[in-house]
Amino acid sequence: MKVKQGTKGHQETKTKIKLDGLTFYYGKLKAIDNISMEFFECKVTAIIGPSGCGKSTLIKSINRISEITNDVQIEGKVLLDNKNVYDRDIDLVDLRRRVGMVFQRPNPFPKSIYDNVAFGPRLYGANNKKQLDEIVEYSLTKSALWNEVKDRLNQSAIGLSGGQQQRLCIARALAVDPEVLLMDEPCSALDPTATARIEELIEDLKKYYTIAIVTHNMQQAARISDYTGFLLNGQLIEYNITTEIFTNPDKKVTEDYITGRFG
Amino acid sequence: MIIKRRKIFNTFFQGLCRGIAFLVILALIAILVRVIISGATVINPGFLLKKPMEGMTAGGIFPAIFGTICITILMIIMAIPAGIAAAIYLIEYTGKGFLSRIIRASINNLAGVPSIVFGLFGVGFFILFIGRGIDRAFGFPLLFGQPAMLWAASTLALLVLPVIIVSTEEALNSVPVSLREAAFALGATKWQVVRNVVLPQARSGILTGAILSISRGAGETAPILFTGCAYFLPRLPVFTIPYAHVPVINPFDQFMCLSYHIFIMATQSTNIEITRPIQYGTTLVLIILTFLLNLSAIIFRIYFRKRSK
Repeated sequence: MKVKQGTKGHQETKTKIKLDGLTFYYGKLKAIDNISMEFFECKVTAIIGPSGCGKSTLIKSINRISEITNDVQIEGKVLLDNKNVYDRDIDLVDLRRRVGMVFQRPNPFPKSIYDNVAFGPRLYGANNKKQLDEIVEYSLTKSALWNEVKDRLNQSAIGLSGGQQQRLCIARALAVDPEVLLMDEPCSALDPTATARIEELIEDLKKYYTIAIVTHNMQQAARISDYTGFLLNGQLIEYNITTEIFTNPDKKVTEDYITGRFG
Repeated sequence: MIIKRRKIFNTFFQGLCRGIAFLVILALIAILVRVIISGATVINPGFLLKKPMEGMTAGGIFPAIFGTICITILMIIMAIPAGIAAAIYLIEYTGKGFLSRIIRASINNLAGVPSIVFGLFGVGFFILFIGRGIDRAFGFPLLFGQPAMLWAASTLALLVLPVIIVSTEEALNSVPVSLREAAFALGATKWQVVRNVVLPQARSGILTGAILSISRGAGETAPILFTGCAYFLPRLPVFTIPYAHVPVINPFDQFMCLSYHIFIMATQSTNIEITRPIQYGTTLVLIILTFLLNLSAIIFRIYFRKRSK
């Protein structure tokens, strides 16, 4: 599904990710059915839809993380900068460095705050103390956590509040210098204040990163995203500029979902 | 009416469970009290540091303590790394395929094999097949193909291996999937995930399980009966490096062992009545040694739990 040329508010930037006829199976269960859509560079694209419609599966297909724990099968393509991430010659380590991910529940490692952020860079062999210090400060600043934790970097990350933990997870993802950020309902386990902070942060981060966010919160999608895709039963029902989706949806079922008639 | 019956049943089963639990504790206390009362009077520095004397009716049990410690160390060196590696392979690297199901089934069956069968297997495999094989290949006179500490320790290692594997698997499985995902999503390779996330998390569980199974193995008699344990040895299984004069454990010598010592003192001794105090003393020393191993497992667990917070 393509956004129509000349839609109001659609300034076409480069296509960062393109799904081309993506069909996704968990074992024999079809979770995603023939979806084609684009994610534009330095824009926030929201994926909305009722529980179990395949939202998470959709973004997890981009960094190929679901195949770690599940038996999956894929048809179609996921193009990152025009290169299919399901090609045989793709380097999964490099793919996941370029495509960072923030999960539904904050999942910091039971290590210090510093070690959490430095975890990624260390995987790639960074062990120069000064360089790591810089990366940690830079990433925590970008995820708006630096001022709160700069005096206790060596304390355990488990002691942080839920919202702080989630921002730490964002900092951890940023520390390996990704190009894309996938966010799988990053605020679903957080209170409204923490949610507001993450939303501000996303607004800020999209200057540098292409962001794909799954959310079941329609207001959130309306507030923070530039583009929105509506999924239902594994199919992409509608995909457009966020304002268009929320003010002037093409399909009746989209309107019904957005206005809360089901879901 | 019905309500009353439910209550009676409830009380009855609570009482039943409590009674059985107390029975277990009672058995433990009965054993410990008997052994401690009869054994404590025998234990003194001489008993711990001297050799058996006068046809093993007097003297100490030092060679048996030494042998038990040596064989336990050898067993640890062989069984723990192999067991942990096997569990990591099963949990992290194989899926739920045919091969891993066969391996798992074999391990579970191995855990159920009686220890005397391990003992006989040790004779057949380690001594006769491997030992004699080496002798024959290099033209030695009977050198490796006879009972020795190495073969006994190998047999014991084989015995505790399945237990270590199963407990390590449990520890690895208890590491949350979300942490693995987090590491994978940062671009970690499988080995990096295992090394940096899974093992540090599972460390205390792995160590506790391994130590507990080792302490179980350290008290076994049947596997070492034919594979290296001696009734009586006038010397320690020690080899002095020429010129340097450094004594090292000689794994190709036979050895004395606490569990076997108890067995022969109680059944094969020249005078069973006279040696009874020695039997109790030896039993108490063996219990204390395994208890120390268990204690170290508890200390490890507390230490690592504090560190991971």
